[in-house]
This record gives sequence, structure tokens and C-alpha cells, in this order.
Amino acid sequence: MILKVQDLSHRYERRVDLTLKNVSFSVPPRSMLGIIGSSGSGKSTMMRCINGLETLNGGTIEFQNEPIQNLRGSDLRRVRSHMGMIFQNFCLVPYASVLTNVLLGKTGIWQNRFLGGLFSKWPQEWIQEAHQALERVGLAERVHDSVQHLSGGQQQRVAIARCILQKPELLLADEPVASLDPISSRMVFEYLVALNQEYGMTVLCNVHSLEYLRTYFPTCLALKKGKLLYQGPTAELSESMIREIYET
Amino acid sequence: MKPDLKTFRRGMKLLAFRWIYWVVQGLIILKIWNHFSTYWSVPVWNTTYILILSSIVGITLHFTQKQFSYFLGTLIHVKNRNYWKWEDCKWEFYIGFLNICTASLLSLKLEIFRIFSIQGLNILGNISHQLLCGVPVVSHLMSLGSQCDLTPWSYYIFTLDKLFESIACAFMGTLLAFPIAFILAFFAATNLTQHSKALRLFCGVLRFVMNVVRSIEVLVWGIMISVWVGIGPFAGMVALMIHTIASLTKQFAEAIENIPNGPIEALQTTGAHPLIVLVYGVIPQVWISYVSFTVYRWDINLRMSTVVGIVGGGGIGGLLFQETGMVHWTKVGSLTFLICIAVWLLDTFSSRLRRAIN
Repeated sequence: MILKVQDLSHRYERRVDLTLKNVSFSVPPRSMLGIIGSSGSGKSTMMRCINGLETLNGGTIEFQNEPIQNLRGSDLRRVRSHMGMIFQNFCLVPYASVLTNVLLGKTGIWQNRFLGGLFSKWPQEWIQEAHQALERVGLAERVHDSVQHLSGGQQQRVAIARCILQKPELLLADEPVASLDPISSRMVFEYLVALNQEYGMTVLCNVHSLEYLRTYFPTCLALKKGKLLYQGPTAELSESMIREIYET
Repeated sequence: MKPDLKTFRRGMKLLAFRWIYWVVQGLIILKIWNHFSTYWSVPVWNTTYILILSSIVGITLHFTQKQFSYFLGTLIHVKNRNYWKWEDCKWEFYIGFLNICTASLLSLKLEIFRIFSIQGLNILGNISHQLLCGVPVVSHLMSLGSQCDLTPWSYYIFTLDKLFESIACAFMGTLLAFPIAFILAFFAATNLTQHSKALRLFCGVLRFVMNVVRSIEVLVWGIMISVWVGIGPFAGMVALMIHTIASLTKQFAEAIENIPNGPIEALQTTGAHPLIVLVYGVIPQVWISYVSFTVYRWDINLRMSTVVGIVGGGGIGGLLFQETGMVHWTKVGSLTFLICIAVWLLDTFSSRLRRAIN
């Protein structure tokens, strides 16, 4: 198992309700796992917990058989460099070029010699890799544009190219198509499938649409009010179960 | 339901805040009272009485409203909230606001009839006439030469040197303050320092020191520095620099606090070192505001450099002070005219620069 989550609990500061309540699941390597649930069910929080952006209130997370819930500093950075993340609102660095944004996927490599990273230029082979990644996502001609001049779909493709450069073993995609039109959405999901098949990345993705879930994700898990309601093949997700997941 | 310590502590904090609030309000009410009752002002023992009374009001309000539950530490389990609700305290806020407005207006001692004093208007008219004589083109067009001595052209050439001194003082003051404020701002931004206790403490101390430095006027800094390094443009430059460091640190830190957290988190998730996150995630988002703030600060410093000159900071301000002391109103008019022209030119330049950057 590449990821093993056991009794994961989380509560935001100054809140009484637990956002996640004893969530347990495991993810085999090279799999595509879709996560569904209504708004506020804890999908995004779970992604953030896995990546160490949120502190857990209980439970354990094992990544490649290593417990990571208590990691800090350079240990956390080492684990994070093997875990990519794509955000709903793209989270690209504004005013920077497309190329720079893609190259930022490599910054994890600089983790222990940051001074070298600060004062040296980007290595030529990284730049070449970035060009190839941008070509892969169909943005070869926008290399030197500022990211603000790109459409939503294009920005998300830049984020995917950043992940291609990072080459993580696990990719966490937090509602990557929430603000995109259907054509761009399909394109993004097809790239995620490509990352899974070509680069062997395990993909964990929050999905809002059941249509996309059924098309691109063979397995899924469902959350409701912070509790795990279902884990298994997407094809076996019954209509009654879906109603239960989404009813308030 | 079990009371918990965290909520109890929060309840106590709210109680303390409310108590201080009502004590301050009590003192303000006392000030208003003293203003109206000239013949029966409240003696010192009554101040103590007011303090006690306002404490009672504050604490009673605290316990008669929903805050009582915070005190017991149980509301958190009941209502799923542990913050202060606007409905609970809005009337206290309205009364306090009205109180402060009334006390402020009264302390200004508004005496509107003085504006229409004939004697005052006459003196103002005389000085304005002489000031106008100092403005070259206007005085020639209005043929004011017969009524007062016009400033000779050679005087303008002499003052240009002093004007340049002022501009240089503002420029160097801003330029030298920039790198220092640039570094300090990272430690003064709460969003970058929240993860470490030591950094949080340093941030608090730094903000406090910067607030103190900023609240001391440039004029006072000018006096202090000219005592230290001697009268001259160098003292003016250092005074401006110190004030600029404090102001820019605050503005830069606020710029950092306002950036979206997304790009920073995106970089963190790649495993990047915090310094790399700073260089590639924070600086690209703030540098435009940094340049804009710095140019604006230079603009302010240029105007301030004339004021600093008055207290020994050199430049055109010193000359202005000298001529005012000798009641040479025509020359004062000429100097003011020159300052206006310089400020207008540099203001136009800096606003165009800022627009181009944005």
C-alpha cells in the first residue's frame, strides 16, 4: 500500500465539530481513487491532512510504510517532495511566467541546499524537462507568458505540468475541475489518467461529478459529514448509496 | 456538561476586555461632564467613584448577557461557537462610539466665530500679499513690484542648491531604508511567523518597536539626530530613514499578510525549503506593491525633508526657517513656490512610475 490512513480525525481551531471522524482507508500503488461527498464533508481537509498542511487530532497516516503524521522540518519536506498536489484554484505564483511556475515543481530537490537554490540559475536539463512537460499538456507556445494571462483550464494544465516535473509517487488533486468548463474538465482528467498510466503516479482526486467519477476512477471512497461511508469499486456504487451520500 | 479550561480562559479574557472598555468609557463620560460643568467639576475622589461604577456596569453587562455561559465554560458544547457575537455587544459599541465622538469634538474647542475675526483676516491678507510678491510670474503679471521688493533671480539660483540637498536627503533616506524594511517585513508579517513560537514573539516585539518608531514624528527624530550627528542634511537623511524603515516595514508586512496563501501552500507541497518558498512564493507576489509603496514613501519624504530642515536637517527647510524668522515674507513666498514646483514635478514623476509598475 502506498498510503494507509488509520482512524484519521481532524478539528479546525475554534470549532467544536470534528471535520473528519475516524476515517480509515488504504490506497494501493498506481491506482486512481476518486473521493466523493457533498460540500463540507471533509474531502479537502483530508487531502490537506495527508500532505501535512493540517495537523491531525488523532489517527495515523503511513506513506510508503512510513508514519508521517508527526513529521516536521526537513523530514516533512522530504516526504512532501514525493507527494504532488493540485488545487481547485490552481495556486500558481502570480506575475511569474508559465516556465517558472512549472520549474517550481523541482524546488523540493533543493530542500537541503537552499542557498545554492537561491543563488543559482535553473539547471538547463530542468528547463528542457519543463518544456517537454508543457508540450505534453499542450502549452508549448505559452512558455514565457505570465500565468495571469491564461484561462482557468490552461492554468490547471500548468499545475499538472508542475507535477510532471516533480514526479511524485502520490498525486493529490483537490477538486481540480471545480471552476472549469466541461471540455477543460475532461482534458484535465485525461491528463490525470495519463500521469497515472505513463508516470505510474497514484492519483487521489476529489470529484464533484458522478459522471467523471464513473468515467475516470475505477475505485472510489465516499465521505459524509467527516465519516467514511463507502470504499470500493465505483461500478458497485448503488443509487441508494449515492442518495445517502448527498442527502442532507 | 463539563466546563473546559480553554473556554474558561477565553471567558476571562472577554471579561477583562469588557471591564477595560467600560472603565475607558467611564473616564470619557467624566471628561464630557467636566467640560460642561465648569463651576462643579468632578474632584479626584469622584474619578475613583466613576472607575468603580463603570467596572460594575461592565461586569454586570458581562454576566447578564450570554457571556455568563462563556465564564462557566459550557456554552461551547451548547451552541457550537466560542466567539463574540455582534448582537451581544452592539449597543455597547454604539454608546462607546457616541461617547468618543462627543469627547473628541469637545476637546477640539471649536470656536467658529474666530474664523470671521476682522483683525485676523487683515493680518492674513497682508502676509498673503507679501508671499504673493515672492512668486515670480504672478508678481510680474500683477505688477506687484511697486508695492514690495521682488526676489532677485540670483536668490533662486542660490536656493536651487539647497533644494537639491533636500531632494537628495529624501532620496537617500528612502533608498537606504528599503533593504532594511525589506528584511524586517518578513519577520513582522503574522502569516509567515505563525508556525514558530520564537518567531511569533519576535514578530510581536518588532511590531511594537516599529509602532513606537513610527509614532515619533520625523520632526522629533530630526531634533534627536541633529543633536547626535550635528546639524546638516546628513541628520535630516538619517531622521527620514529611521521613520521610513518603520513605515515601510509596516506597509510591506501588511502586503505580505494580504497575499493569497495558495501559491505558498503549493510550493510547500513540493517539499520546498521555507527560504525557497519565500523567494519564489512570497516575493513575486509582493514586489510590485513594494516598489509602489517605496516610490510613494519617497514622495512623502520629499515633502517631509523641508520640515526636517526646519529642525536642523539642512536643505531648503533650514533656509525657509531662517527667512521666516527674519520675517522676509517675500523670500518665504519664493521658497514655498520653489518647493511646490519641486513637489509637483516629483509627484507627477512618481505617480507615473507607480502607474507604469502597476
